[in-house]
Amino acid sequence: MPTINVGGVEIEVDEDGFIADPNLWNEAVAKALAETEGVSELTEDHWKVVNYLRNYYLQFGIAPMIRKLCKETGFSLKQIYDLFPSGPAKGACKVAGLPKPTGCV
Amino acid sequence: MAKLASEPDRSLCTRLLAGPSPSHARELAQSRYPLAMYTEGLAHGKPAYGHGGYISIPELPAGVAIRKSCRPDIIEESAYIRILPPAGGWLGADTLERLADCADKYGKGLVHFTTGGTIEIYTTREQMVPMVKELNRAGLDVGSTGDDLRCITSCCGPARCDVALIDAPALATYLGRRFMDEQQFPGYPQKVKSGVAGCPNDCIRAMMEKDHSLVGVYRDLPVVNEKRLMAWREAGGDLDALVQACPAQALHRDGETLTILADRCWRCMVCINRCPAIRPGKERGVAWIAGGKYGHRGPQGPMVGYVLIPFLPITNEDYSAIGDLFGAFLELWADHARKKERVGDFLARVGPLWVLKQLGIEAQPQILLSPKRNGY
Ligand code: SF4
Ligand code: SF4
Repeated sequence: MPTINVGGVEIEVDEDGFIADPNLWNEAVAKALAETEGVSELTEDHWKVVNYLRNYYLQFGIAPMIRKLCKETGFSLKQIYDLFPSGPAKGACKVAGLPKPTGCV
Repeated sequence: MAKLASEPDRSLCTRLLAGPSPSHARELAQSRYPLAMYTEGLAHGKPAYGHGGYISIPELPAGVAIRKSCRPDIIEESAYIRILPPAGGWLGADTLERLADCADKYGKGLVHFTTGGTIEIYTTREQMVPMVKELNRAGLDVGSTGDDLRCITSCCGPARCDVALIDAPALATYLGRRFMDEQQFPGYPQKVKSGVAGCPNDCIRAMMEKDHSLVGVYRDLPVVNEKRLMAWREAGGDLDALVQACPAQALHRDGETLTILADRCWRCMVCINRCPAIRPGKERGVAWIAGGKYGHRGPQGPMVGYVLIPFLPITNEDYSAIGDLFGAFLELWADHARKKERVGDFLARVGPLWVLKQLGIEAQPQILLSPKRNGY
């Protein structure tokens, strides 16, 4: 399995770059994952989306529906794409340390 | 596996190339489309392309789709992008040239005008972003792919039709601009197709093929011009046949005069289509229709849309109220639809009256017992 390097520690990711073990996620990992998505700096807005996704995932074990994400964070889908160019599923969920979503985020 | 009885017949495609009439195979062959994929598909009795899907590329949330290849020895995959068509479907020679340039420079030298109204160019993932930038410079934009609002098609309306009741392409353009993000950022439970027809003739089949449509209608009665009726009669017009053709028995003939029975007339287009002396009424607006689809998937299968509001007036070419309703309905559907539930299946499940209630719209008597299933 491929890995990414976070402060000298190798973290396993799947073929699409999603974290293999969501329990290993932390802020430093998020930053490293963001780099793989072409997001060089995580701003307050990025964190708002990431934290929402993270908390939802911890609570329900899945990623929220795309519309729920927009409604709860107050960002339009376009703004989410501006923050995470590969979109809510491939981009934001990856940075938030969720496993690869099968649903429709 | 059983051995093939004989060598697959690869001549089918060659035969399609021959002859004087237009040939899709000839067009494909003239481009860099991998004709072998088509030939192999025909020879083996099943397409050489496999299922694909939609992908989003950074900078391009919607518009890009992929078809897998069952013959990677010929082509690895086919990626294509959808371009939003201008309402009414016109493309000026300049725009066509720019489109052709893009297809040539980044794609396979081939442009596909789809049955759904979009324009597709086949290319590769890598060429997408530079090509879209060039398309944008030519005044075109991409979208209409995946679970989003698909391109809003319209008929030609008054730009080339004598019976147009509303400016269909103008309304479609208004909606297209206002709901551009919805066409480019897939966030719905399913795709939703829209059409605007200029009159109940509905040449674009909005009622039957689109999930969410507007059809131009008139509310007063058709107008009979006596003088033109005389001229039409003198030129051989058959008045009895005209009276017979009315589906509502609303035309009454008394000698050479024709009257329309107001309480019978459906406000359709039959007499107007048949006789140039009869013109549509002056009080015009749109019927709001939702739930049409031709797709066979979903519990309801193909269905004709429901007329949710039989008449919405249009004054001074102001489309904002129609746009508000258009957007409010899409939100309602998206919030309450099941995963992958198309508008028609959703409407059949929750009932049209529930939708009207949620949107705070009073149901018109015409739809109370059973919503009308025609636009008149
Ligand atoms: S739908 Fe009506 S207005 Fe539009 S092209 Fe057909 S006949 Fe003309
Ligand atoms: S509009 Fe239709 S229903 Fe009315 S008179 Fe003409 S044909 Fe008959």
